[in-house]
Amino acid sequence: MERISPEAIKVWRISEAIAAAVVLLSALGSLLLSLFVWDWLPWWISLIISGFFLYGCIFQIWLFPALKYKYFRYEVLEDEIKIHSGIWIKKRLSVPLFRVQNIDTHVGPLMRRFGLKSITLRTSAEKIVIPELEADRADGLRNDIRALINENTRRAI
Amino acid sequence: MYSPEKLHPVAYLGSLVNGFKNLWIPIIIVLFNSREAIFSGNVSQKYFLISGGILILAVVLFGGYDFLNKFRTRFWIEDGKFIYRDGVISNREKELDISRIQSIDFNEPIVHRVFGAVKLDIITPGEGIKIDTIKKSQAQSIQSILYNEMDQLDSAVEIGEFSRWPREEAPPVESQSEQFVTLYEMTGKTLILMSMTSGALGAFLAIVFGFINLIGANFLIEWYFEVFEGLIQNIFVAMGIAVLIFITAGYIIGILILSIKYYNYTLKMKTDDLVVEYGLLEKKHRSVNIIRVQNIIIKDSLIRRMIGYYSLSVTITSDSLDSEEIDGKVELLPFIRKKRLYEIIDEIFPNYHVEVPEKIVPFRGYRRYFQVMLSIIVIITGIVQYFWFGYAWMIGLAISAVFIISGIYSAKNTGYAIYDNEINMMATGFFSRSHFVIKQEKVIQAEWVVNPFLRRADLGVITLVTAAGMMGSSASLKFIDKEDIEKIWNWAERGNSNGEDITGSNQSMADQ
Repeated sequence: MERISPEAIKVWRISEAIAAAVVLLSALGSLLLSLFVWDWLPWWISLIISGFFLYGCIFQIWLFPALKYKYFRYEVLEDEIKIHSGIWIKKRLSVPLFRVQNIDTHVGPLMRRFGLKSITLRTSAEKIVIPELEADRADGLRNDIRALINENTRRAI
Repeated sequence: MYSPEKLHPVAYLGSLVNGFKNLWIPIIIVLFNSREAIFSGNVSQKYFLISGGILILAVVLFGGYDFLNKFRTRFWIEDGKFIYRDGVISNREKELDISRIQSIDFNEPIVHRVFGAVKLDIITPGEGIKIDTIKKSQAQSIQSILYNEMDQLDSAVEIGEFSRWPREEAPPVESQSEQFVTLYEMTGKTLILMSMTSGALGAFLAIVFGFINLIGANFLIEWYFEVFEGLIQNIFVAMGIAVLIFITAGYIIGILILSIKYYNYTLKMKTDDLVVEYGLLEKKHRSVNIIRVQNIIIKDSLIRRMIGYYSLSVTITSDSLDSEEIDGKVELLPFIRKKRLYEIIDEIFPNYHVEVPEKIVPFRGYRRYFQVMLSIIVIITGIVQYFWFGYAWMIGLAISAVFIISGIYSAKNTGYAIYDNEINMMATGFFSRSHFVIKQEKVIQAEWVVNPFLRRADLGVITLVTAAGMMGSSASLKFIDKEDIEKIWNWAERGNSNGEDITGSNQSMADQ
């Protein structure tokens, strides 16, 4: 089984940090509003929002990315894809390759800076995502999967 | 049918109706807001003319586009393809490969029946075409042409769509392929029995409350209770009687509604197409291509199981957004005696092996079927007891008992049986069972979920997903032993287990 790129931890942390910063800003904003502008806005609203900020800092930024990376494994076999994931609730997934209809890759702005790419496989019912791979590995994997699917298809005919 | 054909003339009437239908929520809002002016009787002529003018303009705008679109709609069959073209500003043309068609349905709502028109719905695994209002004779000829062409076309096997149908290997019987064989016809008695044991009350309540909500007539409910309070002195007795009468009446009306809906239910078969027809006022007609069937589901509930009746559904797959049946589930037999059901399954699906699975949930898994629900009930009861109602614990206890019994019933019935390349899975819900029969090559995805508690108890949850509509149909077995899960898991990926890892180099097997 293979891991995704270790850079993924950084990407997740940065994107979560941006989200957390937005939360912090809204907490500050609501504090200022409640103190100086709107009397009807209770001051403890900002406290609740800072609570969310704290939760984001501890779990979303610090703990989860590392754990998510640690427990995510994928494996592409000749005719199936296996994915193991989950921090608390462990999930194993197995998808036969010949049911895959579509392979998409996705690059976000942050991911581009770190040279990462994610792959999405679509079957007729579900969507399977392998997140944050190194770009060339993602392309290679996509080509491999596509080749495998084509080969299987030809054999079946 | 091989040259472009037009829609039924009634379609144009339909576009007028559609114009009003699109507008009827705004109309209701306007009428509701100006109710005082209307009821007082002094509607000024100016107001009347302006609002009437706007209404007519809107209807013309909404309906006119639809009208033009319908006027320009054509459909025909051309070398192995069914083609549909419409569009006002830009032309839209859809082609369906006839060999890929897996279901041809037509519905006849009451209005359509009066004019001899039908709604046609053709579904393939990918696209689908829905044609509103065409002549019934046209629809029937389309259907028979499509069926015959499908029979003639060499069965080019679609990858991953279906396994070869055993009957293809047998020499084709000419006389049999030409006409429909009736497999099942529901009698009146069965129909009533079915309506009684299904959600008759639910159907009634949904319609009544939906309607009341829609027209905003909540005062009707208050008025209903006030009548009974006026008649009987004791308020609790009055309420009780009011509710009782409401439920009884609802139940009876619900039975009537369902009886009308499923009136004269028949299942017919023609080589590898199944056709279901039912309905008294609105006639429904659905067809399913047997080789496109993804899985078989046999369902029952506690009450139906006690009187020995089951229902049979199959799922087909489609990405069509036009179709009404997004979930891809087609009910073949809504209500049938167990023995007859198995006979029919044997007849329609000789390549499937259906057997009732063994019960396999270990005793340590039993409590997990109700513990989450139980804790939620305890918390809610606690809150209600503390703040509002002193006897809440009695109701809480009763509900808990129901859920515990339901949990044990579920645990006692969950199971699976593997037979060659097929699996029979018995999934359970609230006093209901769903028996899935899935072929190995139809499995799209297998999912195995555990959390640390389940891991310590050597239990797990496994879900097999097959294609069905947009969402897929999933069968999941909860809280069964790890060994059983491993068996199902290995079965699901059988033949793949010795595949090579192409991701290559830096493997780490440490986590396994």
